[in-house]
Amino acid sequence: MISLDKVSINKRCRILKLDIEGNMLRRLLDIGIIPGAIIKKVLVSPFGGISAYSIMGTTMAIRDKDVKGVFVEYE
Amino acid sequence: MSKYKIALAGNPNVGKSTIFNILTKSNQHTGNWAGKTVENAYAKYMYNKNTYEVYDLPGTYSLVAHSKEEEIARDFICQNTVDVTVVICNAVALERSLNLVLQILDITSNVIVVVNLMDEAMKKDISIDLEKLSSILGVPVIGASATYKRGIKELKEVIENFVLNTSIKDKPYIWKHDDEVLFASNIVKKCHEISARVVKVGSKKYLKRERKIDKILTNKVTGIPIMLVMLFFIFWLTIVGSNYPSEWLSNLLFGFEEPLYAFLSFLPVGITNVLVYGLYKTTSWVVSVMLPPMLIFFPLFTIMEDIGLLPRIAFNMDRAFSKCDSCGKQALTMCMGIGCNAVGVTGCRIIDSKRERLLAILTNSFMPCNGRYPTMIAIITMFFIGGSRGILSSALCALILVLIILLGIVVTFITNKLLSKTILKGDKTPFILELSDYRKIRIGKVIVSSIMDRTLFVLGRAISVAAPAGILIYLITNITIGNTTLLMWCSNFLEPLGQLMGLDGVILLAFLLGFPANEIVMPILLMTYLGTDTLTNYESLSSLKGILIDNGWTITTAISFLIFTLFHFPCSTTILTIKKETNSWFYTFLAFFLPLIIGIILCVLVNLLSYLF
Repeated sequence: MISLDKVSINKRCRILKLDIEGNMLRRLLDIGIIPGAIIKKVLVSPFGGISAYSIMGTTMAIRDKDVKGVFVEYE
Repeated sequence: MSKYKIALAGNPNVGKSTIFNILTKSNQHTGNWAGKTVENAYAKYMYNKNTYEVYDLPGTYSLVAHSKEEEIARDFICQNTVDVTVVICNAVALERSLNLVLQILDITSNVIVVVNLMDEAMKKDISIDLEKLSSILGVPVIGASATYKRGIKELKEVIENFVLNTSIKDKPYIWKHDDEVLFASNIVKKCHEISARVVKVGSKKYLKRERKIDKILTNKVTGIPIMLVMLFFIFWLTIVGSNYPSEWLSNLLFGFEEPLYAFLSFLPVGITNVLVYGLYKTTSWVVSVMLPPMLIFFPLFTIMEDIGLLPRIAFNMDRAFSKCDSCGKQALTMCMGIGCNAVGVTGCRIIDSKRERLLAILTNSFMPCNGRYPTMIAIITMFFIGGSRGILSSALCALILVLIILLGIVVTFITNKLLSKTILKGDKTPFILELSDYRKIRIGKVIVSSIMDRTLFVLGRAISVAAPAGILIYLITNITIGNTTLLMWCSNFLEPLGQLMGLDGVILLAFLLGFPANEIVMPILLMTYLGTDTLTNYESLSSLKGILIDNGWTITTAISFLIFTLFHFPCSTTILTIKKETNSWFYTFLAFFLPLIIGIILCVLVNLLSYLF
């Protein structure tokens, strides 16, 4: 189990659990980051700090520190 | 004849505004990035003698609200005051769109689903079984390609059918889910199941190509340079393209001056003078200097926006925003500010956190807007590249403009950081930025919409300000107290501060009088210097340079002038917008004085440095 910010690029991951609360949790749920869903890191910003993920058919950029509580495993 | 109410809902960036515009024949601004509809738009259309009121709701991924706009959208749907809610989906990412569809279906069954961007889906080898989708959801489903106006007629028919045959309105719904994770998970799972049944994806070639483009645009080495080069080319094309047209237009408009004077000669001489030498002259100056660059700049800028580059710019720059405790979406509002600061300030609504939104609003004017480029280009051409008009010198001019923008960006970061450490303390709040798919653009549509939405709007505003300002300037240059004109009184008063900043009293007065619109700073300046009671014709830059040098301009004056053009105070429209958006006099005053103080400090520094060398 690793946190989403640490996954390697272009590897399919399955979301295991969300250790996040409040607003950010809702925001992640909104875009389809829920336990069981498949997610893939596809881009890293040139200066780091933010990465883009492919989730539910679209590409969403989220700052690394905001996804530290999203735990996944490689598929 | 009856009246029906329709709400348009959908994820951000699925073409809701485009459908709204075609349905109601209006021209809401559209663009390829999530969150550009920040105000609830409302318009009507007639169909078979019935009136339909359409409400374009801000785009939202779900009804679990956290931002202002999302709350607006949710409350609107929950109240169930509309006859039918049309939910617009993205055919390319149907699974995601279904999330909102299912949430809305939970509240009301008066729903019509439009699967938009069918053309994009086809290009990407994605096919969708609309009939099957309709039978699974139990509501009408229509396929559409709004950019090509396909499916809109059918939508109108289906809406008519729906409202005529459905009389039950659902009761207001109270949004409450105790276990949000469970609620979201259930819906997301359903979306996945449904989309697996109705969507067929062929080859994934398109996806690989888009990824490749993304990789280049967000690459460590190439990402930032590509963006700067693009900015450079936009400026360059604007400068090269508007060079001669400005002159032709000026000759044309000033050519009408004498006939107009003769035509109005039945009026008392004083009034004719005010109208022709005040109002007409200033207005035609503004039109000839402003119109050609806008006609080139706005379409180019719109193309960049429509293809989908803005979110990539924000993605690349995020680290810097993060470092100064602000929201990465501020990059988007800064891009909008390059077109018009008032638009940029309104755009700040996409930033959820109040603190970060205020940072973005207060610093938006550090991005030079369209009203300021013509002035900057003129000064750069005169003082830094010898006034010639070759391709190379215009390239150099564009390069200097890019450097000025970079200065604006750096000062934005420093100001963000300073404000975050002082009066706007607080933490960075999480945000999600959608990197929307690249879309093909239709050049014809871009040109028409950028001319309609932007050029005419900005020019109209400039003219409506220039006309009365022209009269005012004419009057203060002609009313004398003792032996001096009113204008000279004012500029003499400002002279000491101007000198300290490497400028002079006349320049400061020109900026003050240009508060209604930055476009008129240059004409005021020249009118004052010439001491004649009217404005000179826009002849050639070298003759203008002569006037400035005769009035004591040096290279230091030019540098200070450029800095002050970038940092003074936002124009009156922007200030009013800031008051409206922040609802606070304190922040409105701050937005006025912050850039002013920065501008004064920088100019004084430049002036002091110039004595050292």
